[in-house]
Amino acid sequence: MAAPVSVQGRNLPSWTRGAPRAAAVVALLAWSLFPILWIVLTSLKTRLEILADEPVFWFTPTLDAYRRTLFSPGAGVLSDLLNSVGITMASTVATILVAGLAAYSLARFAFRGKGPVLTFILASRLLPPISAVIPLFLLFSTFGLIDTHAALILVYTALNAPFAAWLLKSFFEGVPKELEEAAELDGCSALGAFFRVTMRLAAPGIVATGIITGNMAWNEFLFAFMFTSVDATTLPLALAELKGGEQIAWQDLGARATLLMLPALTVGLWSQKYLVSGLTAGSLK
Amino acid sequence: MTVAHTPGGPAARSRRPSGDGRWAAILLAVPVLGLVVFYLWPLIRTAILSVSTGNPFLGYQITGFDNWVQVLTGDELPRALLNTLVYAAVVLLGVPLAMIAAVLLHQRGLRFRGLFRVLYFLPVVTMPAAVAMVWRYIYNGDFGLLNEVLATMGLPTTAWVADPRTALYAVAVVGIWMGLGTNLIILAAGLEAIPDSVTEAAMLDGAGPVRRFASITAPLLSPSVFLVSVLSVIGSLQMFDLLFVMLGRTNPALADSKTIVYLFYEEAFVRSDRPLGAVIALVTLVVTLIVTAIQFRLQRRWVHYA
Repeated sequence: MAAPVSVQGRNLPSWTRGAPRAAAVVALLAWSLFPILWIVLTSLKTRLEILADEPVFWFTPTLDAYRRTLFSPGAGVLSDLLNSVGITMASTVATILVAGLAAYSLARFAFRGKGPVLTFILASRLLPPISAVIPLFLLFSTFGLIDTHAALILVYTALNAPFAAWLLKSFFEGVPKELEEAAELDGCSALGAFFRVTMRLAAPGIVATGIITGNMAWNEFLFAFMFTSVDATTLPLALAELKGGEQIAWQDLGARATLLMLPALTVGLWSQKYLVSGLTAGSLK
Repeated sequence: MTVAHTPGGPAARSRRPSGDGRWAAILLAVPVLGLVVFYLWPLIRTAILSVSTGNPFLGYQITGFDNWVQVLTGDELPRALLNTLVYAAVVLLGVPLAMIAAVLLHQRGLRFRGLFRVLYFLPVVTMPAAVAMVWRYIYNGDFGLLNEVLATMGLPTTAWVADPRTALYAVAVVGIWMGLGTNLIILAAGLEAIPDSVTEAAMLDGAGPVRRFASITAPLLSPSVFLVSVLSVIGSLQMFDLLFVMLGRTNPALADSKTIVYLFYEEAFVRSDRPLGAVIALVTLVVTLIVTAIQFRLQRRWVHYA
């Protein structure tokens, strides 16, 4: 860093200049981390420690709440987990396929109607999901799809596809067309060139899109809440319907919330680079 | 990540025009079918339903604008609209917060910068329903952390999410919390895109940190700030899960804190009045369009495109 610029900085020891900045960074960090930390702590407490008048920070952790949440009969978290995993994976794969087709043709071909398709993809963000809820509910009822995995897989794919197409288009455009043409000159078929060249080079972008899409499907609440009841309920619903008012067993809820956050946190941290690149690409024109 | 310009300019396009059109049509068939089935048709169906009467068992007939009159002249919708706009306005305060965070993290010489970025980023991947539950506990009137801390400092306490005066704001604070990570990522990318040479030139001209921020960083970052604001407001107008999980159905504050999507849920699913639900859904769409249009109009005053 260059020499100090501000006037007051010149007379003070060097560490004090960074101090306000460091304090601000730490304060913001506490703001974004503390709630997560607090619920994890809560999940490890006993009922007495939770009902104490003062917040308890030091205590002997216990895993009782996790045992109850996971293994008590009728807890239902495990079946929700299976539903969530299945629905998220299926809808993510379907989104990438559908959006990938659209994105590739938008990135590579000129055709009539390209303008309207692009406009629509951007405008779809303005369309509130609830404007589709009732017709889709009626449609799915007709076909007996309410409370099935298929309903949510279809809805999530449709919901995420426009955004995914927008992202993938920018990633495909990042692969020079000349590379594909070179591969074709070297004897590749058009399809072969696509899979061996474009797909391979756009792979990080495809992963990023998949992770953002998956994250949205994993966390989605509105449609899951309205379109499922017993068989296809997903994890976000496992916390929604609470009984007992203020008599809630907070340590059990803490365990449940921690378990729900864990998979996305793990995948999210592991794939942070991809997520960031995807969100960034989505924000540029 | 930078986005390349469209490769293969006009020359590449004109090489095989007929083939292009055919391939594009084949590739786009499924996506376009999806658009029609999941976007266009539901919208038309909702519009028709909003001017119909009937019930789920006997079907619906078009009868006129009675539903619209009923919703627009009732007292629930204006209240829900106001609540939703207040919520969106409060959550918008998260944008300056994200700006501060982005600028702090952007400075060179900050140790553990990568680690900080990762940690700020955590709320992006935490499940909203779980987050809502966490905060419901923090806000709890009897053994919530917030009240325990306030009590030790001798400050007044309340049951934050059960008190009609505070519930909506308490939920909005969580909205700010959840939005920080995504906003930060987009703004950080905007900051990266500002050339160092510009800031350095200002530094050589004697501009202090405050001046540099006001005259250089803020204007150059304004397109990203605008984008983040638009996305934040659109998201806020569609808020449902936070409110539903944090307040619960039997909450005494619920009547005064309903958002427009919550009202939709009550009409269309609790009372099973689909036509009234359809009206509310379309009102949401219109409000989203109007608010976004206003933002685009206002951007001329403060957004600088280089």
